[in-house]
Parts: sequence; structure tokens; C-alpha cells
Amino acid sequence: MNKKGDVSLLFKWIFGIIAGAVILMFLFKFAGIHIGGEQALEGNKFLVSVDDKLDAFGIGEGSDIFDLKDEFLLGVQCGEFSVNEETSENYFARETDKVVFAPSSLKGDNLHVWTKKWYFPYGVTMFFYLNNPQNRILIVSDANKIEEVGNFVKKIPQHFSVQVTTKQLFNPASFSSQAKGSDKITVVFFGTSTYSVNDLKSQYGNNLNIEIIQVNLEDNTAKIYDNYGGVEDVFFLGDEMLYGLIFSGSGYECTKDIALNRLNTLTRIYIEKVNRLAGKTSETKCVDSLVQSRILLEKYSTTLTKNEFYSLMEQIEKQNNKLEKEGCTTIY
Amino acid sequence: MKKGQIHISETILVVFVVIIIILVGVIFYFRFTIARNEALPYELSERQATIMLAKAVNLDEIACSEEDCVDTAKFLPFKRVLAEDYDRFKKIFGRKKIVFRIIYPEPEESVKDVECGVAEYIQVEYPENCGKWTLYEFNPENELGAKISTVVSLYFPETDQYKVGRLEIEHYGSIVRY
Repeated sequence: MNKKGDVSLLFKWIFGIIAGAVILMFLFKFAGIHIGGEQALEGNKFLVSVDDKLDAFGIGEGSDIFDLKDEFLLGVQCGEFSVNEETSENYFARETDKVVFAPSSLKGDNLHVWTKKWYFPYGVTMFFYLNNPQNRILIVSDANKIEEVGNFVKKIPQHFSVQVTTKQLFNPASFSSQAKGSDKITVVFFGTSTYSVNDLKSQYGNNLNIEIIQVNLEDNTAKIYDNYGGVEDVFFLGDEMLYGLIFSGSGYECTKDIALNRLNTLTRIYIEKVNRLAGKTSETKCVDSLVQSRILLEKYSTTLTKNEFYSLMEQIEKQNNKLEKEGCTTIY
Repeated sequence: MKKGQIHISETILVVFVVIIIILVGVIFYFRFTIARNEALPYELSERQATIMLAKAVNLDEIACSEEDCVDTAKFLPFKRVLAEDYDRFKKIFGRKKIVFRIIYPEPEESVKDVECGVAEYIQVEYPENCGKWTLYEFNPENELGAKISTVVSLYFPETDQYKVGRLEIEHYGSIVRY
């Protein structure tokens, strides 16, 4: 055997393997960078696309089901959308100016959307309600309130599949099959709650996210019992906000604050508008009414309590009607 | 040169040529991807501006409460609130310029480009003494923008009159949020 030829062949093999390995490493690295970049782009594109779709849809009131084309985990935090788990390297978040009431996470390939304008007493902003079939909402009413509650629920688009029953007929066991494939169940009691989160957990299992909301319609207040044993006292201003409470559960308070902030901005605009209009009006009765309106609006802009909000809202509404009857320029 | 050395030189040459071909392919691919991605912010900005066109008309801060129009009496108060809360509105509007113009009845040539500010508002001639409201402008890098516009109905509560106006949105090729 030719020893020189052996060495040359061995050298060629070693050289080939090293060169091949270097080329392969380069290709893997290239593929890795490319996939990472595409995922980042895809994640951001998805968020921009959802935000833009909601922007376009939110021009008017209505409801629809958005087909997301692929399965996504959409997070809805206070004034922020995100995609994927927070611990994942493909996690992306994007701030939004919209007032969105939704469960904190929505997993699936479609998104149920409902938009409704919030008036208090003037139009403040469009509310966005988001959900998907993985998050179930069950409404349980006292028998004497079933008509009122039924009318309230009737306005929720049917594809949201919100179910209504009376307290007497409510049996957690009969919802076990629906609970099985779900991520979250929100049970909303209009009146006092007859079950605790732990009662429902023993029925449906500990893995399911369960929240109970106890609504007091007389007082416009509610108690939220979250999945981790926390209890929160909240209030709502109008039916639109109550829908928001039902859809968002424990994430309600923060979104409500964004809405109140928006109300404050609108009120500041109306104060300024009324002030300027009073300066342009020559009729004394109109000037007086506009000055009165400004005083009411100024009080409204500094209000923090629920009762004051309701009381001033009614007074501003009356004042606006009075201005209209007097033939003066109205507040809104 | 010996046979073995010739073989090694051949192998090195083949590997070298393969690497060159791969490198050329990768460079072309990256250049194509970068060119595609560079166009993306502009496309998204244009899409956002188009949505903003419809959104701005319906924005409660400036829209009429009942009819499908824009309340001009809210423009100056809105500008004041915007100045106080500029960061929030920068997040909403981004790099844009939002202008409302009166187009019919056509304002006099001398006032067409006069901004309707507080000084013009308090005069008796208002709204005949000015022709436009610049509600928002943010263009930190002085980029050249692309303009899109739509016709709107402008309501003047001071005189209970309606005029035809145009909403112009100039967008500056970026979707960055501030």
C-alpha cells in the first residue's frame, strides 16, 4: 500500500469534513437569523394588523368575527396588546389608544369583536369588547330581575354565546362539559352570588381560570372575585361600562380608569368650548346658561366618586336640554 | 507538482467556488429581504393614515355629537388639551400633520392659508377671517410626507352654519409610536 497516498486521502477527508462543517454551520446560523427575524416581523405585523383592523372597525358600532388565519395567543393588558407568552422570546407588545375590555389572554384563530359608543352624557369614546369561544361567560340572575337582565344581555351579539339563567336553575354541574375545553369561565351574578370561586373550582378543576362577578344594579357597583382568591370592589358608569366589566373581569379597573381619563379629556374640551361660546353669544339668557354649564362641567372634571358622576351627568344633560329649549348653542 | 498536491488544490478550489456561490446567494437574498422590509414601514404608515382619515372625523374630541360632521368650536379647545397631553396624542397620531380646511363657500384668497387661532376666533368676522386649522403636527426629522385627504362637513355652532371642508393628513413614512 502507498503510505503517501493514504496520508493524502486522509488529509482530503479531514479537509472536506471541516469545510463541510463550516459551510453547514454558516447555513444553520443564516437560517436561525432569518427565522428569528421573520418571527419578530410576523409578531409585530400581527399586532399592527389587529390594531389597524380594530381601528377601522371602531369607526362605527357593530360586531364581527375576525379570522386571524393562524392560532395566536393575544394578550390584552391595560392599554397594550401583546402576542405570545411573556416568557417567550417571540413575545411582542404594542401600546394602543383604544379602550378595550377583554380577558387578559385570548388564544385561538379567531377574535369576536363588538364595538359600542360610551355616552355619559355626551359621546366619550368607542368601547371595544373582545372575546373568543375559549372564554365563556355565564350570567345568573335573581328571578325577579330576569327580564331586566334578559334585556341587557339581548344587546350582546349572539356570536359571543353569553348564556343566561336564573339562580334557581343554575347548577354548575350542568356546565361541566362546556368548561372542559375552555380557558376561562366568568360567572356573573346579578344579585348575590350563591357559589364561591373554590366551589366552582372543585366542580370544573383547578386548571381552569374562574372569575365570579357579583353585580348590584341598584347601586351600579360590583364585586370581582378573581381566580387567585382576590376580591375587588368596583363601580360602573352606564350599561356600556357594565358590559366591559363582564368581558374583562379582573382587568376591568385599569381599563375603566382609561375610559374615565378619556371622559376627563372630553369634559375639558367642553369646558373650553362653552367658555368660548359664551364669549361669542350676545343674548343674556344664553350667556347665563352657558356660564352655568361651565360651572357644572368644571365640577364634573374633578369628580372622583360614582354618585357624583351620576348626579352631575344628569344635571349636564338637563342643562343641555335647557339650552336647546332656549334656542341657545348647546354644550354637545 | 505531485498528484496528491494537485488533488488537494482541486478540492480547495471546489470548496472555494461552492462558498463563493453560497455567499453570492445569501447576499442577494438578504438584499432582497432588506429591500422588502424597508418598504414595509411606509406601506404600514400609509395604511394607518388612511384609517386615521376615517377615525379622525369620528373622534369624539372633535366630532359633532349627533350629526355626521366635525364641530369647529371644539378645534381650539382640542388643540389646548392636545398641548397639555401631547405624549398621549403622539401615541395616537404618530408622525403626522392633521389639517382641516374650509373649501366651500370658498374663503377669500387672502385668508385661505390663515390659521384659525384664538385671535381670529374672537373677532366678529370669524369664520370668514381664516381658512384652516392645524390640529396636530409631529415631524421631528423634517421628513417629506405624503398627503391624503377627504371631504368633511364643518359645523359652526356660533352661527349654526355648515360649510364644506377638507381633512388633510400628511404622514411621514414611519409607524414608530412615541
